[in-house]
Amino acid sequence: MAREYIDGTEAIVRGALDAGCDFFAGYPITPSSGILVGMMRELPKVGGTAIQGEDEIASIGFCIAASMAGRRPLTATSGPGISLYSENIGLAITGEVPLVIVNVQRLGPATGGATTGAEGDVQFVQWVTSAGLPMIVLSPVDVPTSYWLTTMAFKLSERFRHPVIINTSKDLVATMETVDTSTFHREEVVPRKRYTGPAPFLPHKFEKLSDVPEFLPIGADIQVRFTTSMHDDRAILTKKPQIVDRMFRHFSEKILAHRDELVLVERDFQEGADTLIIASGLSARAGRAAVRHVREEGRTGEQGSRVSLLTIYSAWPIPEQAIREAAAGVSKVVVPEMNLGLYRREIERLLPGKQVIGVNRVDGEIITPAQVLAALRGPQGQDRVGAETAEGGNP
Amino acid sequence: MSLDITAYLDPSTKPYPFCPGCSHSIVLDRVGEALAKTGLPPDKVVLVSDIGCIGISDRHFKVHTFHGLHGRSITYATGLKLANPALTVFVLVGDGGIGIGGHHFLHAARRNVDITVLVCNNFNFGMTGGQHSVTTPHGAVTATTAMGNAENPIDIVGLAAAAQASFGVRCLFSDPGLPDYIAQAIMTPGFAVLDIWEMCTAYFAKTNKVTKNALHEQLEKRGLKTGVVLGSLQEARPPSPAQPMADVTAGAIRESGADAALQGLRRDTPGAPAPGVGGAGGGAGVGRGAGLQVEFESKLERRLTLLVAGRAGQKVRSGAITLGKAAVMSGLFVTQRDDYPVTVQTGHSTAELVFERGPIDALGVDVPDEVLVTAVEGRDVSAAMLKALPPTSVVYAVPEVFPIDTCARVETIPVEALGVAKNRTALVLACLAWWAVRTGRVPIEALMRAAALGSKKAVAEENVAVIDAVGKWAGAHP
Repeated sequence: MAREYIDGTEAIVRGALDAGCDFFAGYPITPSSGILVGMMRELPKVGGTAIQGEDEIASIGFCIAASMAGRRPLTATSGPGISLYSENIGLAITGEVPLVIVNVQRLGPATGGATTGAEGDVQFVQWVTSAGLPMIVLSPVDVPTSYWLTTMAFKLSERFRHPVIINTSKDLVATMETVDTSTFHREEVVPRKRYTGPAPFLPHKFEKLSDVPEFLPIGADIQVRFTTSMHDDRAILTKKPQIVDRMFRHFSEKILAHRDELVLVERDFQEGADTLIIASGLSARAGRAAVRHVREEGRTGEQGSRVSLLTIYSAWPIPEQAIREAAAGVSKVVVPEMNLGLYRREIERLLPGKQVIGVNRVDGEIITPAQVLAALRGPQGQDRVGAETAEGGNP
Repeated sequence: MSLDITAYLDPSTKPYPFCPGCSHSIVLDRVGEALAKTGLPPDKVVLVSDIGCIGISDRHFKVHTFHGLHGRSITYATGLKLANPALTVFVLVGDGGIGIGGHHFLHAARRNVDITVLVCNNFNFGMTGGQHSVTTPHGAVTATTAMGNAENPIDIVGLAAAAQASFGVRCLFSDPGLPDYIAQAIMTPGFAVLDIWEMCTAYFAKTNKVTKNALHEQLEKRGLKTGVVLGSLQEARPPSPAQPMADVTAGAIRESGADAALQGLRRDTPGAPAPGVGGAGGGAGVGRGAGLQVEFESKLERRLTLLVAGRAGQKVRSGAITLGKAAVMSGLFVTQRDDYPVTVQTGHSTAELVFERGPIDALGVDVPDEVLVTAVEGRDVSAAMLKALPPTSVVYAVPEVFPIDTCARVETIPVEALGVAKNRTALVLACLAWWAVRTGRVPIEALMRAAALGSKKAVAEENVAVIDAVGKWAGAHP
């Protein structure tokens, strides 16, 4: 077995190349710059195009246009850059643009901690642009899932003609890990479905609201239109209420009607468990270690209780059914995350009547298995910094 | 070959949606005439329109159209051209768009991207109610400059010239040469801009004089000429001589300097195949090397955490990577989490390593089993942690960092004997090699093999020699 010693940055770059990414634009920002450097280095070698934009707005603009010309683009940034992407992410939604965006979370707000880890963007990446439409957000937990979910992001962006965000974090992209790359899983990316009929091409034509329209690149031999304005199926500006309503609901239904396809979770359930850990991202690994510890104790007859773990890879749309099912038999749910409980509020919404305990940290340090263990055992969540519990601290 | 104007503009969509007397209507017809002069196949031409009154003109065109965000039209034009250099891309933008997107204008001109930017400059924001823009003349009265504009206007073509664009025209919308100017701009390799002075009848013309004479007076006052003022009608500024002509015409970007650095920007063949989809083995693929074979054996039995605490410039990170690889080659699983200030060449540099016999769940180290301190900066940044260490932990430290405030057992690393006390770049690697031998966790042969994998040959050889020397010293001092 050949092993490698690589970080999440390398995994994302490889994943993008293996998913057929052929266009990259980005702007330097810690801790995502490694992806920019990697793509600038690797993409030209395989006939792709990589460019460093003059800022984040230009970078995502290049990518959106390249996608509409038929390319398969990637961009990468961190929280402050996502702020600058915001309006263009809306454009990508309304224009039905396949696009993969990596957000390497760092401690915010604003410049925050450039080399400091956090998971504070978990709501931000869903509500990143105006209009409140659903986003697709994937959340790796280690090097192999960074690779896998990068290929998955390309698959889903092509499948739904929609931007997909890979929401990783500083410690995942910058930490070296031992991996066996022969076990890496790669999703097959099926290119967006191409229109083959005669002119006129209707870039936003759908029968059912949930249908994904066929695609023609700008530069095809019949006219292709694209617009930022609310439009009809021809991509021509309209304010007609009936058309607007149908188009708006299409943007939502296109994702939500297919949410079963978008459930990416790992279920590590123990029969008779009374406690469930729900986690994503880096914090899921503290959850994993805590579960292993508890079960070992159980085997040796020391203290052990029974505990299950639900790792969420598809943060948005929220895998509601999977969460409800996982929590069906338990009385207590523990949610570790490196923020003030941002995803926990979704869990609480989904699980009324259950005791939901947060394990939260906003000091840039990683949540430890010991903190998760303390929450499993105690009535309250453990917070090294403040008294952050389910009862308090929600902004 | 020239085509009819109706190949580009759809007469059935007329009238244009602009206010009575608005010069945008005239300019759109001129754009159609210019496209007809070029004879370019309409399906190889893209109009990118910005926001504002001129932005809504896309629906009248029969070429491909891309109507994007305010001020960002030039970014989309650049992206389209980069993605498919066979396309001819032109932008319709107002003076408002040039203001908010000035950054993109500047950089597209600097890159000399092969696009054409037609600025429909009517000196104010028409669509939002006549507010002043970046081209509003000094003293002009607008909705937001009731007392007269106190700001100075920018000169759009001057700006493009300063950024080394290829071609620039300044003219009035009524200039009979306009179709020729536009056609020439479109056919010019590299970044071309037209600053077309226009008339907003709804707002600007109501509070300011915009007759032909008044506009000429304004030009004269500011010392601005009309016509081709950057490059020439006959011959555009030649692209960099370092670039073969065929290459340049195929490319999206006309290099004007650092050609080598810009190579990555360009892709000469539109529609080239997607990059190598990795090998059948999933992870195997582009530039991945042979991986690390497990050829050695570690004596490590249970999870071990090690913190290496040094300073910038000591090669803490690369030393730790060498140790990590050596551990992997000895059958262990390793994670390595580094920390250093954003200014990477000053202050501390630390690496947290976790070694286990199987896959590692949690990243990070709460209380390290062992700490290797190689600099005062590393000691100080870890001071609280060192102080809290239990007596079961071990600290290995170079002499210069003593005293250390800790309950852990402390051992001195014999850097003098190892011959690296004065060798800043070899110190950490030698200390790690010494640690490996001292504790038996990682065989010294594995470390040498890992060091030899380095991509820079001279550095790799140097590192192997450092580890070898430590191994020999250890052999003589069992």
